[in-house]
Amino acid sequence: MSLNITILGTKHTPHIEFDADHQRLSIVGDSYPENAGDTYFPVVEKLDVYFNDPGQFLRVELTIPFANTSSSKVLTDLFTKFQGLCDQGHKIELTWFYPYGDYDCRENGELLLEDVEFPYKMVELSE
Amino acid sequence: MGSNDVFWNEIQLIEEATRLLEESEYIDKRDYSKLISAYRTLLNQTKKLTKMSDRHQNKLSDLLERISRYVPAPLYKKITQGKEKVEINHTKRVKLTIFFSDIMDFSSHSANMEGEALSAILNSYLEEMTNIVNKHGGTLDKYIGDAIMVFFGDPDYIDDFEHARRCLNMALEMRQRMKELQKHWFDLGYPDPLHIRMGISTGFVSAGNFGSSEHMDYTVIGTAVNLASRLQEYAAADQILIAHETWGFVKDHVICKEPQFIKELKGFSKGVYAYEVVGLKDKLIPQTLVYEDKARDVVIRFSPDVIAPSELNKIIEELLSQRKALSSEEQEDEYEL
Repeated sequence: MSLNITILGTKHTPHIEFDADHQRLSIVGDSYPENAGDTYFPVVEKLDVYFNDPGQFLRVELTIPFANTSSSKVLTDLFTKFQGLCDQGHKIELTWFYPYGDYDCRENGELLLEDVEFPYKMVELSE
Repeated sequence: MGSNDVFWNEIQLIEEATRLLEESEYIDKRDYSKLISAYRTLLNQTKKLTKMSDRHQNKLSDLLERISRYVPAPLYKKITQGKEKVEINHTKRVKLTIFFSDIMDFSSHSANMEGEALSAILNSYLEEMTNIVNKHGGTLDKYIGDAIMVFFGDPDYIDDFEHARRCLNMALEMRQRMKELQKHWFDLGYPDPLHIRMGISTGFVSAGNFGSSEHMDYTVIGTAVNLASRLQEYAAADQILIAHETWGFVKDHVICKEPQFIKELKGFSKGVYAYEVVGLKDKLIPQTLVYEDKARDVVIRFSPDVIAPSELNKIIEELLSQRKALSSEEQEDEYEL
């Protein structure tokens, strides 16, 4: 059964793609849904299955200019989970992309990632 | 993360802690240590989320404050309170008092100024006038260069008399402030005095959102709007011209000269009556002049605020002819006796 999943973005939710074959998770767009759990749960389920196999690698690419509080809660839980997975021997590389000149977005990313020990990068998108 | 509830982990933690308390008299040190670790994570998350939430609120507040500078204060208040529908074709019929002003011959004045001086004078003028608009509760519709359009009665309606009165008070204060600004600009090195001219009318208009769904403007349209604008264009330097309906609402509040019938006003082929506003009734000290015509044995006391000296001759002729008619009647009566 394929673990790949694509959740199309809407006005209030980001475009989410998990490509297990290419070891990549991408989340792009503003995130302010009514229920963040409903938005992210389907992909988190897939991730849980993916990481059942030992020694997995995942490249995470996030471009989330705005996340409401419940989305931010989901993201911190996700990063805590990723940290736990790294402690178990899995490998995570994360890139937080932020729009050109949007230093608020950059600071939000830094705040959400301040407790993690796996490698991450802050990358400014071009204008 | 089991359920799609974002607080699933926290709920599980509390249920686990509750179970431990209920099921055993003593809590194992390892379980307790696990709980402490989980609570610590929870505390860190809460701090993080609170910080982010505070930042979002500050950013929102900052954005709203910037937007408020582009939107009239009463309208901004209604929009942010969610009371105005943000869609086109949402208009209403309402009776308003409309005001237009501009600086007479501003184009030729600006041709004689450097760009920086022009900006400085225009901005100081608009700043001062806008403060006066806000002081009197007007809705600033727009600036068109040096022209200002204001209306009273929307989005907050009180009553027609109050709107007209406030508008007049605003216009008079603007005129007075302009005199002070003329001295200020002269001191700054600009020698030619700038003069304001104003037009006011009252009537039913359509108020609401006009434009496209991508870009709309909250404004008013209608005959009363056109009339106020035409009166402003017709007014002389420092003159406030008001339409007849406005006069009806403010005649006990202000002193006006005798109405003038303006035959040719663009868009008003039947002509209109307009009144020149002199000042507030309770503020004006009536000035009385005395005209004595010894040759014709006439003494007239009159207020130049109401009667122009140029009209005096006509009035005297009328009085003399009435006096002559009266004298003839008295003589006839004597003959009859």
